[in-house]
Amino acid sequence: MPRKRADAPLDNETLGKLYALLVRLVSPLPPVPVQGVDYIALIRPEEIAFITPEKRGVKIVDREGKSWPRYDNLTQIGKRLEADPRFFKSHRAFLINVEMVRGIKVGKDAKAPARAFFRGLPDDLFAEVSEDALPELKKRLGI
Amino acid sequence: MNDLPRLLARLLPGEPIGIVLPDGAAGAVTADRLTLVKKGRGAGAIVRQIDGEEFPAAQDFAALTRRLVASGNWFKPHSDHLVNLDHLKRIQKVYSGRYDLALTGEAVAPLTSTYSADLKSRLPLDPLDSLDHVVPFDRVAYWILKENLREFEKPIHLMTREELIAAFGSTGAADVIVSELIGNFLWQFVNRIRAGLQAPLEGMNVRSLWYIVKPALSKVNALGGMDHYKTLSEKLADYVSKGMMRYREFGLAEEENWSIGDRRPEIIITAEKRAHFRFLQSLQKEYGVSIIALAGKPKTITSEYFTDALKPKVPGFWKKDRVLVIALIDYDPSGWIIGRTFLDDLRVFGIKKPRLIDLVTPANFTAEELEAYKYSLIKPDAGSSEGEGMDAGDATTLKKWMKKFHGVNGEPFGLETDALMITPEKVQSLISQIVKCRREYY
Repeated sequence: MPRKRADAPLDNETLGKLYALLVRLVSPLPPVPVQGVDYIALIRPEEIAFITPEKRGVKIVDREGKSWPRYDNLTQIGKRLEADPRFFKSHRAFLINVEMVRGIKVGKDAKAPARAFFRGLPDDLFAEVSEDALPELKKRLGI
Repeated sequence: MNDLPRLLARLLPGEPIGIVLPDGAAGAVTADRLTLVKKGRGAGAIVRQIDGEEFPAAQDFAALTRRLVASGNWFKPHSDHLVNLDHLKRIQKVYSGRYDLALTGEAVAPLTSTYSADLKSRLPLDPLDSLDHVVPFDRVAYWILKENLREFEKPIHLMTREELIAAFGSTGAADVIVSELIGNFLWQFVNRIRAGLQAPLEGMNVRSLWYIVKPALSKVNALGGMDHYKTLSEKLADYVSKGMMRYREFGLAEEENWSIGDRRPEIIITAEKRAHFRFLQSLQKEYGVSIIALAGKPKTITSEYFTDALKPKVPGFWKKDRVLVIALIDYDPSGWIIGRTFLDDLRVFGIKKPRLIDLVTPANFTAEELEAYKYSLIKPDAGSSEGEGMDAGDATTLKKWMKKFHGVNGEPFGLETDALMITPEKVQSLISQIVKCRREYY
């Protein structure tokens, strides 16, 4: 099989792989503005661990465990982030960053769903994983 | 994959920027490692790295600005600053139209109004966003955040000293931050009522709420010094005006120095003094108008209960000029504040665009009456000119009032409501003219 020249343009498959690799490192999306006291903070999507609803909006938990409010719902924020493949809806109340998952604890039954834990965050900052979403999450994590 | 170049730009080092090292030697740092460039001495420039270290740049500020703005995600927020938007962490409001941009490594650059629209277009903000807050915006949620209102399982008024200090402890001289404790107490109390865990204080008053939280303040030695009943009543009024809670939710009673009219409810005759309430009642009987005696500065609880009763009787109450307020309020700076506060309260509770007609105004007096009834707004022991010798707040208010109303014949004189009420038939006649001229909506 003839070898490609080193300066030959990259084919689409290679470009696709390169893109997927880059997206694992940095998000293709702009930062998400969140509300602080008298300030707007900008959170990069790759810095988000998970997002969950709370009273009057959603709570964005970042990689340092800090919580940030946004006054929209999980569906709206999910749409904003859908072009970034690192985000996955693990449960009706959780949107998680798969790149930050460090482990999953499988639940005993439907009443005690599985939990996803995040790199750098303590065990009490976890996201729930529904029975339906668990196989897909395992696949994405390679387990 | 259209954003591939942008992803690469974020990951690859930027172009090298020449710097002068502390020993005078030439060095270089890549642009992606810089957060900020600011004007240095003369035309020079100082660059700041992400670790906070600063160096003089080899190029001048203008040349560096041209180069960086053309090359990447750099933005000029001020004539003397240039920031790397890849390192922008937060936009902090300083005052209206002025912001600080906080960057990686605790770098801060000012953003002036000249450049703020341009910055907004460069950021992932909603077109409706101001730089003050994100959209969607929830005013109540914002105040919960700002006031540091949290959820506590145990009722705050039942907490032990240790629990209170753990929840509201202060780094200052006091054991706790009292205003925060009181704010959280009110927030928790109303939410417990909403959840059915606490019965409303039917028929009681704001002081009853104070007596519930007072023992908790005593546990943390916060009863000496300041009058914290005032803190509580002001905080409650503030939260009500911000739409976070209603007095009615607490079941609190108020004096009810008001009544809604049966024929012309959209016309409100308001008096500053409680003593005029019987006169107001006679006007109501004759014209079917709504009446309210404010008894000094309007209380938020009174305004809430009054508007709650008024709104169902006035269809389209939110429309411009639909509600008319006829004021029997002193013609002086205090009266001006009272009238303005009442109108503000009406707006807070949904009557967005009320119109105000003041009856106690020089136009409604003869020259002889004005001379007889006018009184000086300058204290006798103060100086001769307006504001002189008064405390700063009073002097400023008087100056603003004089600018707007011109006192009596341009002199700092006021008129008491009673100067008009001496001739009740004149008041009757004025009100009759207004009521008759006013279009009937119903």
